[in-house]
Amino acid sequence: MEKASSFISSSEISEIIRFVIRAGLFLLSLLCMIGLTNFFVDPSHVYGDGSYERGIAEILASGKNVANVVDFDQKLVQRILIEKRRMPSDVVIIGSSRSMQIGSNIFPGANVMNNSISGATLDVYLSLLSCYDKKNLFPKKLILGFDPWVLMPDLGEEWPSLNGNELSILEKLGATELNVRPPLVPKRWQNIFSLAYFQVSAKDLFKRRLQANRYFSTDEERADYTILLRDGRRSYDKAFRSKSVQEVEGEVRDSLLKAERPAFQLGRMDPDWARVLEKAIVYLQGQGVDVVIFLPPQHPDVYKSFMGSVRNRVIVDTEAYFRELAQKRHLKIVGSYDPSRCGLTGADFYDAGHVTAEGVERIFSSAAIGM
Amino acid sequence: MLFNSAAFLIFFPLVTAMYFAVFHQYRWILLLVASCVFYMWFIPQYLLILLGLIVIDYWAAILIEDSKELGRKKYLISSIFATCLTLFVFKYFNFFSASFTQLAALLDLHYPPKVLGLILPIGLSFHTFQSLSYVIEVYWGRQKAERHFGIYALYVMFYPQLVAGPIERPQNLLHQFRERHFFDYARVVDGLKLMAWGMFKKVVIADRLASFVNLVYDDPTSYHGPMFVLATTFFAFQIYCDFSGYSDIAIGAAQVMGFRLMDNFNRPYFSKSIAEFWKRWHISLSSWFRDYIYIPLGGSRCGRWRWQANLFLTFLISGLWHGANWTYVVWGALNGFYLMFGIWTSGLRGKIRRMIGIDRFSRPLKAWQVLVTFSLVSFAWIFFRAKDLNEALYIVGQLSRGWGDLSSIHREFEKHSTFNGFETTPKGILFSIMLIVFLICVHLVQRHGTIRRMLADRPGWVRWSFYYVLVLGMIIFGQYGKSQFIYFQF
Repeated sequence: MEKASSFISSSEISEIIRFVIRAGLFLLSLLCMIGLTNFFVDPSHVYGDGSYERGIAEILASGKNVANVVDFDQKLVQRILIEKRRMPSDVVIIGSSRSMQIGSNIFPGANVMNNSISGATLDVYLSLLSCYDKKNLFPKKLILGFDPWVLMPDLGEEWPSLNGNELSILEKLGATELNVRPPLVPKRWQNIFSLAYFQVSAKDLFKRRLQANRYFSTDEERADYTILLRDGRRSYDKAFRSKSVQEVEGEVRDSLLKAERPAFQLGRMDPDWARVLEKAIVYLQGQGVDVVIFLPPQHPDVYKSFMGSVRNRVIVDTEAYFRELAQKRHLKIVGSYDPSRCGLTGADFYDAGHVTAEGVERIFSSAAIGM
Repeated sequence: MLFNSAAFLIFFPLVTAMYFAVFHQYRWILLLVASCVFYMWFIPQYLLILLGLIVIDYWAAILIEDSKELGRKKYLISSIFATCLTLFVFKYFNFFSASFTQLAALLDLHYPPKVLGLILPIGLSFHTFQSLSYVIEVYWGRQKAERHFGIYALYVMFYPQLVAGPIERPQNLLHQFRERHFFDYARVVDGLKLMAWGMFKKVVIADRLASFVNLVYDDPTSYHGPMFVLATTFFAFQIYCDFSGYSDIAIGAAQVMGFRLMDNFNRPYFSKSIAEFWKRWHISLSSWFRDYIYIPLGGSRCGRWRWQANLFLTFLISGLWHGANWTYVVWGALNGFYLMFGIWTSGLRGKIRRMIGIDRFSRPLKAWQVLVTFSLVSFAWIFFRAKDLNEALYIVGQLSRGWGDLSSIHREFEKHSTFNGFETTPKGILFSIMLIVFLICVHLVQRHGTIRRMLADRPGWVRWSFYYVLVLGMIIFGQYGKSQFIYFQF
């Protein structure tokens, strides 16, 4: 090997310094551009002051539907809606997007509120229950829509307004198992330089979607665009609703291929979370709430694929756990992850995981959940 | 580790910074360790296979150099056998076993297929070919055997080109591990720009085109001629951007550290003949086949028919190198046939040209030749991309159908427009076409030199604006976390 006469020459050092300064400035300016675009365009209203969500909640609370909403902090809207309530509802539904088709269509004449939030896991449920608990407005009947990943930490969606400090109910439950200390830097600020969010922000900036897609109140319940109904249900846009069975099957194939988390890559149930859930149910029953568990079915092709997967077969154990819990706590249980148990076919799905409004109505009508 | 992964974004600057920070005599250790980490990111235990091959070829080359004529040949054959056996077991055993079963069934014989449940080590075909080239060069006396085991191991494992080339020759690369590379601002920046361009081609163009290509090729019975033509054209550019993008990143990464790797692509779709195409496409592999298969078989210095047989055989092997599937064999054979057909018709084409009175160097003729070459290459890509031979033949059979009813083309475009992502909508396809046009324009400009050299003469604000547009374009329009590089599977 050739012997190096010196470690590094002075001319090399000056070249390195020149490079570091220029590359540093280039990267820094790029980061600034990304951060500023994310902050100011903010298509999902992550950095907003909540006025977008407050506006949506105002309309819903006034008894109107809201049309043409873009991404928003669903958690914040639900929190505001609960805070605005004066009287307890007859029925409240808490779940994920897979429970968003349950509402006054299933309980006609009753005062129904669907507080479901996309990608919700147990922490979100507890946060919403904390809001009800604070106002002492628990409903007569509470339907808890449990996805297979509801007790799997880290699989849920991060909502900016969920900072852990909203889980006041935990103290009453005596649930020390759940570590809900808020992060030092809130998640939304950790993501200020997110490239994925920058992609959405930049595309939004080009399309100027924010101005064109401003939400408005409406009495319509079905339209070309998505509508948030006054009872908290979601009426999907026409394109999403009117897919053919083949199109949905194609989409399901694609989804299974991509196997995105959490819906297609389940983990293991957290026993601590399971204990906290049980404590919450006991507490709710103590408050006189009739708790019903809803297990939203999977698309037949998804369920079949899960049965053939070592990892995702856990769905069977998860359902068995909820059934056992229901039996132990004398709860009614509606639905099943297995679509054949609910009499559903591929035609009853909007996509891989979302049952149509009609499908959900059929499930509940056969379960005979009265008021 | 993938070049388009977050891990590489940390790995590369870290290794490069350490490379310039350590003493020259220890740099090979750093690079070797880094290369091991890079390789182990995929399947760690496969490093042992790689190390086994390195040990065999290291000793084989030394023994070849130290032995007399007969012994030399013995060691060469042993080395080639060991390397090819590894390749056969991991890559070809299942294919030949299944083919043998099919053949036996045709002869009414029962031969149950034997399947080895082995995963193909990443880039096996690349580093085995690089090892083979070393041993053969030592045997031919054109390269001295490397006595430093670490340096030889690094020659095989040098991480920028370890898993997908360029397949280097010992004469070009080995000595560079002994040279001291200084930090040269211009060279480093030039390398980074090349990497950025490679990344742009991969994440913005190749992965975007892949969405539409996959849509059509994953479900061919749902489509007709126009969609197949479009998907195949897209695939031609996808595979180019994917593989040349990888090569650019590899060459650029090596350049940042002071290493010069060979060029792998030279605007291949501007070739005026298939022969020219193969001088401009995957140059390191084409020249490997030329030097170690075609010329040893006799090359063109033999009878006309033998020459053509040599050509055909070389392309057949090249097809098989790409994958253990009859589709690749047919793809190779088709390219061999193109070349032979070109030889057969060369005189006739010249006569027709003279008869019509077209100048050999006229632009319309060149454009026509480029178009015909591109069409032939693209036609062959159908076999490369299709899942199996039946599917490829189905697509070929459908190419001429469905052109009459233009509204059906529109319907097919619309059919998958909403639910398979923006890339497969009419607007997304238009955007992809615009990217292809942009790439062609870049290639046209590159006839006069590299864009990087041209930019170097421009004022600072022009250069910096270009860099910002390139990087922001990459961030905004890039497809992340979607795919590996196509050539990794080989």
